Amino acid sequence: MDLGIFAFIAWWAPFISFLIIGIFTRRYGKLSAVLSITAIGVSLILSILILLNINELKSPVLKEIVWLPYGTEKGIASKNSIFFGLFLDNLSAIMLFIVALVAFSVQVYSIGYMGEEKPPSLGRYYAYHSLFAFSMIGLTLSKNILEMFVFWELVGVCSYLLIGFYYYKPEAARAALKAFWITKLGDVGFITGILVLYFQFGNLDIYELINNPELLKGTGILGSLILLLLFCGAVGKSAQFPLHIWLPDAMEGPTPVSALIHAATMVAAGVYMVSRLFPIFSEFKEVMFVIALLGSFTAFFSATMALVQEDIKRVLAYSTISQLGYMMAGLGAGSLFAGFFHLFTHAYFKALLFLGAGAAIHAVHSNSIWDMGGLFKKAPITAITFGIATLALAGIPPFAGFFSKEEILFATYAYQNKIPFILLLITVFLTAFYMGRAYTVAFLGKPRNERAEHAHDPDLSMKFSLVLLAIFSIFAGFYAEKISHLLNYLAEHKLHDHAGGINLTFLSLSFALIGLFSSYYIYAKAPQFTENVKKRFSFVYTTIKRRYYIDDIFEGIYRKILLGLSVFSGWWDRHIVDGLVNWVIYTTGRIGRTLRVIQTGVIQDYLFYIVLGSIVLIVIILRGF
Amino acid sequence: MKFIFWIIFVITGISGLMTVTTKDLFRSALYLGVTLLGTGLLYLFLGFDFVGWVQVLVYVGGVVLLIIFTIMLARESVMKPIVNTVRNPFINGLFALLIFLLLMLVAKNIYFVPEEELEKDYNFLPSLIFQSKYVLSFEVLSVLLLIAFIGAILIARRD
Amino acid sequence: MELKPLFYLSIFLFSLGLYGALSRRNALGILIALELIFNSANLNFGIFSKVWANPLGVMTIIFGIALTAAELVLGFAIVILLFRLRKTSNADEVSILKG
Repeated sequence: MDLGIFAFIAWWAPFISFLIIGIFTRRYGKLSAVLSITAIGVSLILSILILLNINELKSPVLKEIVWLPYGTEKGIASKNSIFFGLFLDNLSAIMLFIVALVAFSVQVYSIGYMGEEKPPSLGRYYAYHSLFAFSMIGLTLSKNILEMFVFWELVGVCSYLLIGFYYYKPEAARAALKAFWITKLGDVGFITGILVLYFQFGNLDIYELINNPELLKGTGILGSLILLLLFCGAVGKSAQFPLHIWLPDAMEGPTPVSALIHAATMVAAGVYMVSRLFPIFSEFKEVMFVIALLGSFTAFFSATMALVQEDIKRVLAYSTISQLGYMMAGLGAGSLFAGFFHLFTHAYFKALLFLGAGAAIHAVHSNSIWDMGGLFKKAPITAITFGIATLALAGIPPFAGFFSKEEILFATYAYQNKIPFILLLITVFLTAFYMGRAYTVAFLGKPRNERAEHAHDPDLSMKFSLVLLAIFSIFAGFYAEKISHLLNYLAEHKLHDHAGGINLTFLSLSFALIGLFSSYYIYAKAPQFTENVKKRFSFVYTTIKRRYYIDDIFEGIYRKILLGLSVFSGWWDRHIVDGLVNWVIYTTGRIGRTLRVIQTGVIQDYLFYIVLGSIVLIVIILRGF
Repeated sequence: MKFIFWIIFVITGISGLMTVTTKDLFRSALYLGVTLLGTGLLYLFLGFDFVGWVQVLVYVGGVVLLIIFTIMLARESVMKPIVNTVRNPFINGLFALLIFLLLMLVAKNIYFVPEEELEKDYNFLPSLIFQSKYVLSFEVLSVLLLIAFIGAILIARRD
Repeated sequence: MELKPLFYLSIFLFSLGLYGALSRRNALGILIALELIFNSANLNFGIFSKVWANPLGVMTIIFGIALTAAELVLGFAIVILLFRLRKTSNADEVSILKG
């Protein structure tokens, strides 16, 4: 029962699938799909087996090989070498399961959703999926921060490839590039942090770092700097403010991709990274404060933008950003369990929301919620599962989201600064409201146009995934105790620290219910209310709709500063650098031309010079220089 | 004896001067002949009979003749006298003067053994040439002259 | 018999020959001046052969004469050829190697 071997196979099986699809079977769409799903299925089964035997992981599994052998003497790698390896403990085992499950569901779902794709395209799709699974699992199981960074980048590449899957659509290509750029911006901070960490402490091994958090403790500013830099990577990848702008645009990709990458797994990588290094992060109170504040602000900020979206996927995208903010806030407030458990539950219901949205989109062939309506009667399975996920997201018991959200609220309430708590509490209301709005408009009431009339439930593969994830959305919450116990070795935690007690639960629950009901009332019974609000607060409305002009700011910076720098460099290169070279050439030519005069072709002149030279020599010799 | 020496000395010098300053090429060649002749006589005064006569024979009898022939051959027209003008006389003259002075400066410091110890028989040359190890060099020299001969013919032939 | 004055004479002839070589326009004129230079060198050899009582100096004179003659012969051949090709025997009109 070597769990290390299980993890290893779970990790590399999708990679083998990627290789085979990429080299051999790309032309055969269905075959590629089968291969990919088999691989991820294997990973899933193995991850379940690992979880069943999780008690064996009391001493984590560590396997490694030498990767960059710095300071190796006589064949024995020194402390400064960098290793590539596997780190399997409770945290990574749980994460592995999350990734495998969601990936599996999404890949099965894709059989139905992407069924109309031509076979070579489909093969490409599944190849990317396998590569992504491999990279994400690699990120999860990384033993060394540099290794994690490698997979981090790989996951970003897969995201790029999959967002831009419809490469012939210019918006998709642009969105893919934007995603890559913005996350790369965060990654600059990340790699800088890694470098500083390495050159100051010589050690990038995760296991050693988290077991010796005092290593970094004594360094004050330097430690904070390193952690902030590492956190930059998380800001980019997990779409925190201000690097959140890529996520809404990433919805150009196929919906299953959005479900997998931009809801459950890749964007969770940032949260996972902070969780992984939590013992170190928790030593630095200032950094934790930044994380908490940024997280809660992001949560609130993007929830406001979710209110005004018409595209159902965009609503969910902003919702994702918001929930990621929740997770970060929970981590920052000092509770590893809160943040990570929310990651756990969020993965399921967010993926479900996206897949359900995909089913709705598939049914009416449009992304806009105003093109849907009345789907409850036409596509019941979709509506019910979507509804379950909505309630989970809003934080209604007994669905999963309730438990994880509670934990975060408790953690932020107990935190010394109350701002995160207040922001998150308001966001509870907003979350419930925008989800209620989306659900009401899309699923309830009467069909709004002709296409909605002919909507129907999706076919089997899609239904399967929807139901599977729905089950998890319902029951995941009950594992809170178990998971909390498992994570104790990383951070001490007591479940339901009733600092505010029952009152807090009551408060948040009421906010959520108010949100749901008010949105239902407004959108179902009194739609003109929204029109009035739009007119009266048109400035606010426009600002929010335009995403607070942040995209424009980024574009302006890019255009003015970056391109301006390029223009300047070009000018410099052409005129000054080349100018210097040209000047040298010109001067050499001039000197040459001047000296050429000596060569008159008349012998006597040459004789003259010879004699001249000999005179000089004689004089020199005479003078005895 | 000394008187003649000095006369020949002066004549050689003056004719050397005339060689390079006269405008007529033909006259220049003739002056050259006089200079070479004078040098040959000076050799005699030095006690080198053989060398002196060889000088007169070869140079005056051979080379000057050659020069004259060439002048005749390389003439633009028979009627016009050949003009041998001088270019930049002042600069070149200055230059030559400079060299002259420099060399004189060097020459001043050379030590010459006083005359008394120099009376010896210096006419060893014929025996040196034909009865010693220098015979080979002479044969080679004659080959050289042959080569020069052939080379000149080759260069200047009409084909 | 005066050796020092003879030495000075040879230097004098040398500088004259140099002057001639530099300033004569006609190619033959240049060769004549060169002849003068060689001659002064030979004279030098003779002087010093006497001074140091070394027969080698005299040998050198013989060789010098022979070599000079050979070289002059070739020089004249070239001048004749030059004259035939360029119709001129002025040295400064033959500046093909200019530049």
